[in-house]
Amino acid sequence: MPIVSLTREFLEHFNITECSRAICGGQKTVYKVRIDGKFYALKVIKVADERFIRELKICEEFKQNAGIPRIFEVKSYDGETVILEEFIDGNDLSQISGQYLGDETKVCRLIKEIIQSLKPVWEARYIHRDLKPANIRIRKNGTPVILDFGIARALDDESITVSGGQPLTYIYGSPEQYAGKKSLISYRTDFFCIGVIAFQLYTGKLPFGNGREEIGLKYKNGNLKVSSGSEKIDIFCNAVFKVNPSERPRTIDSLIKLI
Amino acid sequence: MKITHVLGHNSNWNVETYMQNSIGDAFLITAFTHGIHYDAKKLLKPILDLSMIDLQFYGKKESSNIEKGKLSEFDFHPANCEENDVTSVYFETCVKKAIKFQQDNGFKKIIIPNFYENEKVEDIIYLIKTINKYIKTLKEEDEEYYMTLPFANHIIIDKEKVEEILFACTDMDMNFDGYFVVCETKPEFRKKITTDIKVIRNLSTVLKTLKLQSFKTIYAYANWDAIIYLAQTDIDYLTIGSYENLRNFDISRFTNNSSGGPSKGYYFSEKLLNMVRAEHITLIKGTGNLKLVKNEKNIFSEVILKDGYNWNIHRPDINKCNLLAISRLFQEISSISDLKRRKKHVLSLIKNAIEIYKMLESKHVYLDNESSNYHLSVWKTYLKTS
Repeated sequence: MPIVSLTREFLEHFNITECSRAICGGQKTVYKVRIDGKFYALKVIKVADERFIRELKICEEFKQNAGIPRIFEVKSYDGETVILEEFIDGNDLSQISGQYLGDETKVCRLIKEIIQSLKPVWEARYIHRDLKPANIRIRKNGTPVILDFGIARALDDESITVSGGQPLTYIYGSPEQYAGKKSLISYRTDFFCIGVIAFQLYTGKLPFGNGREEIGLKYKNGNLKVSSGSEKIDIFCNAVFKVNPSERPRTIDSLIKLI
Repeated sequence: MKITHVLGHNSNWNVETYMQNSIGDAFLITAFTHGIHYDAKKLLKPILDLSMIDLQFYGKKESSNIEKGKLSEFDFHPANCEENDVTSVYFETCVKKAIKFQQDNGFKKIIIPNFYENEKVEDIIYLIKTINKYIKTLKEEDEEYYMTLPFANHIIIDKEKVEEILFACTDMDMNFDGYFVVCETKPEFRKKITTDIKVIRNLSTVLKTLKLQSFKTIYAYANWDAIIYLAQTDIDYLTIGSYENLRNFDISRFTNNSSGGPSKGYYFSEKLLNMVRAEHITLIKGTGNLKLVKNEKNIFSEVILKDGYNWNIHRPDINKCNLLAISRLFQEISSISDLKRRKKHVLSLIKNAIEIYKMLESKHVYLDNESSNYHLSVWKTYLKTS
């Protein structure tokens, strides 16, 4: 495993014996590191803003939840914030989505597990707001871990995005996110995004198209009924694919019952 | 679905039709008419166990201006507020006392009062959320809590405002058993029911969504146009009322003095799906076309359609005839459990009514104003496109 980007002093400071860069985003760089023989995800945050604090808070609050990565340590180093997090040995769902194609049982099981992982988060009045395959890591045993609560929001807090919740990845966004209706963003926004993931996993296609305009137009027209070829997936998707969040399943248990 | 009598002026007609003609299943006592001593009334005693009470906070302080109303008899009613403005804290206290009043008086279906708000949806939502937290602490197993949702006309025509309210009402944290829906439909002059498709569409969405989310629904102060809503969803309690003010929610009733004025009355025709003015009934009868509009198997109808009957809106038979005809129509529709079949059935009723109007015209019987077919094409369009 090549050592990249991090200085010798940094590696020594954290007792890192192996390191490779996994992802480089705008605000953070993530490395896979080995410390004392164990692998970790090490995140280096340039600016520890409100988003970062919120993500930490959620991970800390739900550290017993196997569907959310555990955080072991948060430190400052040379003006940057360093987080040592559980390394999830597996793949992003976006990398292995083909394994779910046409497999109703496998898709339903995964979706149910994602919902169950998020249940305590929603019940605590947090919402993820950016659920997509790239933010779901599948462990070697097939169970999902939800990543990147970076734009998650506590429903009683002020929003951290100016637009009131425009999703970072628009193809998985809900109608209320498209319309910038901040007051309608809730756990039922996440329900909608999970529906998009379920449909895509089963069919290999996005339910409302790939383009922002195309999707926006469909949301505006209002009829979001889809047909995937699986009755079970259709029941689930058509229950969550409602333009009005008030018409989507009201409770998490009722959502689980649909899949 | 339970047909619920709204008990306003001349409540004896409602109670009599329940006792003697098996019309209706439950009662809604109006605080405006019956006041704090409702339970001492001989008439109401036998039906108290089947009753709910609407404490009618709609007009807030302005309700104290009404001469005839008895709302001020309730010491916790905002009509008694001594300050110029009713603050939200004061109003919340009134609501909590209203809940306690109903509990103390043995009501098992508790209607949580709310105020009429013309523009600010956030004020409505704030109160709903506040009271929701409060009732969590006092829920008893044998009590059901219904939060009042009074839709002002300006709100019900705005689908975005309606969705904001529904969004709050259907949140997973809501503890209410159901909602008591009141809607200001504002029919046009010389019309009894609205033809505004926005009102029809959005009110239908309200009732459908609440039911979809497993809340019980009470649609209060309903008129016979409730058949359009009933065509698409189950409503748990649907009210019927004798006088116009019990069938058409209008905020001015709670803020200004008003009276209905003289009238010979109306005949609700199950075949025309409309209220026909007494004068028009005479016209239809005179041209030998009564059979086309006459309600079948309705003993009150038989009485009032006899030659020489002296029509007057305050005569019990006229009102009882309408209560029977409307409740029968509601029941017939709601008895069809399959919603697709139910909608189809209502569409066939509308189609028949349109045909009867055409037949009357072909026989040179022209009905105008309230009696005319001003509503059926809107209903048909709505049901066909929804």
